Amino acid sequence: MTESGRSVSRRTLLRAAAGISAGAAGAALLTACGSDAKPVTASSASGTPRKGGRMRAAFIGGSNETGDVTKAANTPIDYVRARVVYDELCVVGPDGRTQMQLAESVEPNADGTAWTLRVRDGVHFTDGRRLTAADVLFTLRTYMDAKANQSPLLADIDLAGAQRKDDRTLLLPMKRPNGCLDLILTQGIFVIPDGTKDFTAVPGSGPYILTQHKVGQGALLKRNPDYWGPEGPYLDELELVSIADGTARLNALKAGQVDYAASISLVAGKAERANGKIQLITPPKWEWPNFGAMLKRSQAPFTDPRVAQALKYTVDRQQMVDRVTLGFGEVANDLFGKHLPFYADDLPQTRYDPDRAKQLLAQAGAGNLSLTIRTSDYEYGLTEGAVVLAEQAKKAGITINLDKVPAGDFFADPKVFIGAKFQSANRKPRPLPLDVLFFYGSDALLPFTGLAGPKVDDLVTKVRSAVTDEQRRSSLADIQQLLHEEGGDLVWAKAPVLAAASPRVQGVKSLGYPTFPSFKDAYLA
Amino acid sequence: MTATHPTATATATAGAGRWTLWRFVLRRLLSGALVLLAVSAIVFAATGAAAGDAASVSLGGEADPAAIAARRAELGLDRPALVRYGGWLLGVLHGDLGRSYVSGTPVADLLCARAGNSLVLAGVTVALLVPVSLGLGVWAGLRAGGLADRVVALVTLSLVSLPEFVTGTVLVLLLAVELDWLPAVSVLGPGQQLADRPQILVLPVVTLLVACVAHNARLVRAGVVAVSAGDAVATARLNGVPEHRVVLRYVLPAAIPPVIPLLARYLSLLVGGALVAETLFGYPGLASMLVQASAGRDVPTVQAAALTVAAVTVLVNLLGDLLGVLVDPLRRMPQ
Repeated sequence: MTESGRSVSRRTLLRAAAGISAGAAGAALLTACGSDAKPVTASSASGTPRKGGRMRAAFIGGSNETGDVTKAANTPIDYVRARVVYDELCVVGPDGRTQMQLAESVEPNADGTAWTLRVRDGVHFTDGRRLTAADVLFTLRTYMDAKANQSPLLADIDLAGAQRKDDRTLLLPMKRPNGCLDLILTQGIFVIPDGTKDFTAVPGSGPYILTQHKVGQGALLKRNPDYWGPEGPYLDELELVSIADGTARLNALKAGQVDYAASISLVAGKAERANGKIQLITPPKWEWPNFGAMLKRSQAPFTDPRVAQALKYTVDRQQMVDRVTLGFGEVANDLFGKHLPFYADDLPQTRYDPDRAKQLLAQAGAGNLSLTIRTSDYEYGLTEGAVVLAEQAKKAGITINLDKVPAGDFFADPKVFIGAKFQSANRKPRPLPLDVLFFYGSDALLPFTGLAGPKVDDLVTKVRSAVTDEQRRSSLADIQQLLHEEGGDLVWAKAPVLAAASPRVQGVKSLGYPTFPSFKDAYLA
Repeated sequence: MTATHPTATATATAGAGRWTLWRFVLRRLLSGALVLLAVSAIVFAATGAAAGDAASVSLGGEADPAAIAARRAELGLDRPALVRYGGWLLGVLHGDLGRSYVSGTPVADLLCARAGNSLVLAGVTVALLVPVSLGLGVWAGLRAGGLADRVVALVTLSLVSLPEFVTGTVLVLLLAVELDWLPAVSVLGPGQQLADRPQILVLPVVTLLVACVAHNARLVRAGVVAVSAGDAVATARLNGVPEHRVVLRYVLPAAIPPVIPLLARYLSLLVGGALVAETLFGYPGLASMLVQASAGRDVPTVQAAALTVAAVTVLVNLLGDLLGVLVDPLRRMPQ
């Protein structure tokens, strides 16, 4: 069942060969248009937005697309559609801070035992109904009942005890102190009208109105003339095209069939850097996925903190940036949340030090350490990082074998995925307190690193109940210090999710999710 | 070479032959149905053996185990495997393919669009494959050993040894990106049908054609070489029959039959196995649906796609055999 010891798989080689051949052919054919290399553009808009036109954007979709808004996480194209048809209460802005969308304010009481949520005035759904607090309560209940991905985040809200103070104000008591509701509401919860029964045809309040949708082909949306927002929508029409393969999406862009191609591989990004006809779009740095590996601290040999530390010293992070992120990324420091508010910037950067690693292993009585890392081609960077790690670890006297599982199996069985002792990781960033609640402590939903115990639980509780910025800062500083010293997360690099677009495309904002950005303010220059 | 059977014998033979033919067709259809049943059982067992299920996969890698359990119950995945298979089979026998575990859409809706697209892609490819491979094969065969023969062999063999993703990529870069003659991806707008944009077929068809033509053309060529060396052709030529008549009357009829089963194979292969072309061009066909559905552990969709491919294979092979009998008079004789 394992492919132990094989450092480069046949599939990786084939994929690399395909990339090289496509890249080389592309370079040969495009010599005429590619002039000098130009810098990668950021996702923010520049200039004055222009009204009108139809933008065509290609995203990953397929036969498993769904119109059910509560299951929008099925495929990126579903999510992108939902993000323009509906609105969220809050979103995470480019600076990593919460921005209000349909919510006018979301305020906790002093100890996080209750929240007051006030919705914006003058917002209407496309069927003419006005947005009220009842819609928000219905939405939260729907997501809770649907057992959607968001439901564990909502579990602390005492929905049965919720009270409508007035038409626009909702009082939400908490089952236990939870100061994170403003962050939780940024996690893809789309507001739908009270009493909705058919979740596949729900009127939204968003900037665009769905006019046509065919599973596996795409969707056509038109501007919502009555949109409440101060900005946008600018386009007359937005067409979302479903193309599963990254190379095909890029080809469609280069041939002028679409204006925006989502999720372009780093390999393709490198090849297209000099192509003056397209712009590469990089999201804000905090949104860059974290590349690394996870060690289960509750299983031998990682129960000894020195073994976990030794592994951190065996990683040459700069080499990871150069070889795995192809120069697009940046060094990370075994913590999530870099560039987010309250990230512990002051902790020392773990350096590459194989001798120190050897020392630590000798002290722990774990010389000649041999490990097997579970990895997969499920996403770029998993296998690639594991291969480089295996090479680097040799210098510290550690043998790392690869257990490469089929892409479709990587997380298919939660027991295996969560229980793995040592595996590759590519973690999408989200607000820091939510990451802490998800991954650490005895209540953790996904205890990948198995870090638990009264000390950890105490720190996690403090993060959960922190309501002021100062409480968040101090609780997050404490837990990050612990994670940096004793945690089982090995985070060696962050690298962007790239998109490519025609230079005319402006105003596409990732707002927390670079694989399914918001087209709310998009326009064609 | 005209038929010189006495009239009475011919009628009797034809009657008996027709009856044998019907029995043959019926038997093949029955065994085909058994094959489909076996395929469905194997597919069911295989999807059951894969890691995880539709609930755990569709909710993603960071899902709540309670949410997974709830989705499992909602989909009925908590029932015993045999009960699920039996329920599904009963539904299919009543014409109900069920709903996708992942999207909740009726599988029949998903299947109709995709299967139609795949049949068109495969049909057009094979429809072009016939004249192209016959033309190349006959042309080369009649000039066996000559320059033309060697050029055809070299070109077709080089093309067939290129992987499809290479031919496809080069075609896209050249004809779509650089020259802008054809669409780079074969996608339809939400309200469009294939008939609205037939040009999206060109690049996938050419890519598939390039991959299949060598084998066919070489088979035709071999037939042509064998027949050309035979007495019939030599006699006809000596008798002054014009060359085009020699080719049409003697060479072609002998060269075609061996190719028919191969064409049938290609047709069924292309319906479900055009994965590389579908991926490269984003063409919404059965192969990519099968792959996506398998990755999502979407058993009803996988079943529907697999059964369609199997049914097409059974039918096309039957059709191929019948066609073989029709073009080859010898096989019409009672054994």
